[in-house]
Amino acid sequence: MTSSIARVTGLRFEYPGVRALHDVSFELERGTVTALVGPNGAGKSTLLRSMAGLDTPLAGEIFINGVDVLDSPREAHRHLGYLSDFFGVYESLTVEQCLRHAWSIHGGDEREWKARVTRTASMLGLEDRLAVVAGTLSRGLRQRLAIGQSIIHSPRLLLLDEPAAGLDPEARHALATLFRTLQSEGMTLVVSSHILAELDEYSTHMLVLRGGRMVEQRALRAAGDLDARRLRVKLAIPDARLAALLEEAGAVAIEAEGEDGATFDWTGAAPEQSVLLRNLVEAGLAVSAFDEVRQNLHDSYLETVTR
Amino acid sequence: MNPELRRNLWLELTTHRLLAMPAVLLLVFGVIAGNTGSGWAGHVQSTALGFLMLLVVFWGSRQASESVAEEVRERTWDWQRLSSLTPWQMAWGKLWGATAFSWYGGLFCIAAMLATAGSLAASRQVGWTLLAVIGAGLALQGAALAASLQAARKDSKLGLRMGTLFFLPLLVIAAVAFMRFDSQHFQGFTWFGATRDTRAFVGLSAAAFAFWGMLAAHREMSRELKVGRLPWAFPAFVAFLAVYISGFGDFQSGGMRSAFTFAGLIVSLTLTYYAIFAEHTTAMRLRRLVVHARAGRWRRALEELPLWATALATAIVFAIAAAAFPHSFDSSVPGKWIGGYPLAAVLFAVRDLGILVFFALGLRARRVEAATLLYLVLLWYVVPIFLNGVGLEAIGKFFLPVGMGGWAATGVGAAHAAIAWAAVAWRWRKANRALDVI
Repeated sequence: MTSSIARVTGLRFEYPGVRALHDVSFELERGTVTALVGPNGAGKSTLLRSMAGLDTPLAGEIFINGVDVLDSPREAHRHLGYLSDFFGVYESLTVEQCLRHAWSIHGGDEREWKARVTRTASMLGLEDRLAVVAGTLSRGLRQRLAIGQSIIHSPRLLLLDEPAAGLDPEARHALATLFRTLQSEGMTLVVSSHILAELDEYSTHMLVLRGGRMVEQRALRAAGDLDARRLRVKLAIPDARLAALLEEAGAVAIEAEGEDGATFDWTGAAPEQSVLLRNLVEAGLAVSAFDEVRQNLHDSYLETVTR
Repeated sequence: MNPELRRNLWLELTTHRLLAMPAVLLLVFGVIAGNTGSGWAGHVQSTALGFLMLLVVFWGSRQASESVAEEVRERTWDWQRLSSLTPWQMAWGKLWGATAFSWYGGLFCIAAMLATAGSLAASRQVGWTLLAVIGAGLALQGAALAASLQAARKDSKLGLRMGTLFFLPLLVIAAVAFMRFDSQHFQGFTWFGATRDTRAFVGLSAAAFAFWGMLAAHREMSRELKVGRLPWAFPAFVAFLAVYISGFGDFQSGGMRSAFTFAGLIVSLTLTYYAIFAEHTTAMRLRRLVVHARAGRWRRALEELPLWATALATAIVFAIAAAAFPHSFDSSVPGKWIGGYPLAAVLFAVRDLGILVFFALGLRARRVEAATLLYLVLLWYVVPIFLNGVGLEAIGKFFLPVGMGGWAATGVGAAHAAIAWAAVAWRWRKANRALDVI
């Protein structure tokens, strides 16, 4: 099995008189969360709909988990989930019926429906609302139900178009937590949103579209390691031992700033971080600053589009 | 159980509905039986037949049509399209599920008809009647679902309305056939030179059309679910209708060949125009067709062919055959008069398709079918009538070449088609320049 869950090659899509996607090509690594960003009309929704097999491009190839979406869309749908920005739920069915139907139409084993519905509902905090009619749910709960319908068959790839639109801050936080959980379970996510601060909470990669062209695709942090942080240490008195001490403590990707400072990646938890600081001080280094440096998604995006 | 069927059953068969339907029907049948004296059985049977048609043919067709339209409105259709169900599973799940309540009521009507039939011979007649109604119901439900799927892809509802207009003659024919069921017109009629029992013929015809209705629903569902299909079904339907209709032809003077040829030509041209308005013709689809053809991906190119293209292809074949073997049904009319008229008719259809494609390739293409309809009305009716009205009959014939001879009409048709497709070529190049491609 390759490390790529999705491969898009030369994707070209046209609307009358407009080319919405210009030969877009990229691959998505398994277990990543990619923030799909770009201005309005950049082609984000078109890209997601093409990847989901809902719209047919003029040219190009799309493979999801090794399945050609254009040749075998029904087979590809077993491997992916998709949530549109304008989604609907079956207003007259109960939450349990909606989830059971979703499990069945994705080819799920009928003997397992109860267990899967219970598991999915509990993951989304809907376990006490299984008998509630979907039409009576709040916007946030409907969003959760719609996501539940998209993930109940455990797709390898989940495509989400503006999933947080219209949600209150609490519901957005719950959504971010859910995405982290899904990623930790091995799912690959592509999330399109205008709210970059929100994407920043869980994205490992960024894919920038502008005018239908792919401007950049790059990693924001290590895949599968949302706790990785970039730290910076500054010394009041230069000391040549700094880099060696950091390396010895487990820091990686060390970039020295002369002998009076360095930035480095740190994967340890907060207590280990405080131990590192204590060790540096006890080693006689005149530490004047020790903090986290992080270029957030917003900065990365602006840097890319203004380049 | 088919998941889509089950979902529909959850919605359609509520406890209240399950109890109310038989209660209402039994009440109606009881009132009829109690107020019609000794002939009550016949009256109950007629009433049950009426309710069966109402429930299965009319309400069932509406429900089948609504099954997709409602999902589009509720924004659940895209999500359904992401399922792993095959087109056939989705199509029959919708057809039987959305119409489940209609069929549930229909079962009580069928039971009432059989219970009041009396003798074995009468039961057999009721059996043919039931086959006809059930077949007509399935045919129209399948056609309604197919039309609804076509309409779901359009930005205007004109196509749906035009599509419905094309189905109206079928409904009228069906209604007339049923009205004659219990009358003296039961002696039978001639089809392919032999006398047929009317009731059996209508029943079997309805069953055959039910097959085509189901196939139409399956094919359109395949297109909606992006499952490619080679374009054999529309020409096959044309061939079936040509054979079916030619069976009513005059075998004494014209022979089967002429009847088949002309029936095929008329059917294929009618279906070409039906497809213009029922189907959504888009620049994207036409460009995909060309891109695949240029790359030698012939299967994909064929899968992208619009329905009107396949209907037109069969019309061309039938037109050549009709010109080669002229019509001679009526011995008082010289057979050769037809000349090139079949070819002229096809060439005018080619022109009209050119107008459709011209509008579809527009940079801001909207309401393509409505714009096409407007120009067809102008070219077929308004301009010729205006020219004739101001005494320019000679010029009027260049718009409606009637009475100038078949081959001259063919020349006029060829000129019209050439102008229309030259305009298409110009617009194609313009669109390419706008996209900076090819």
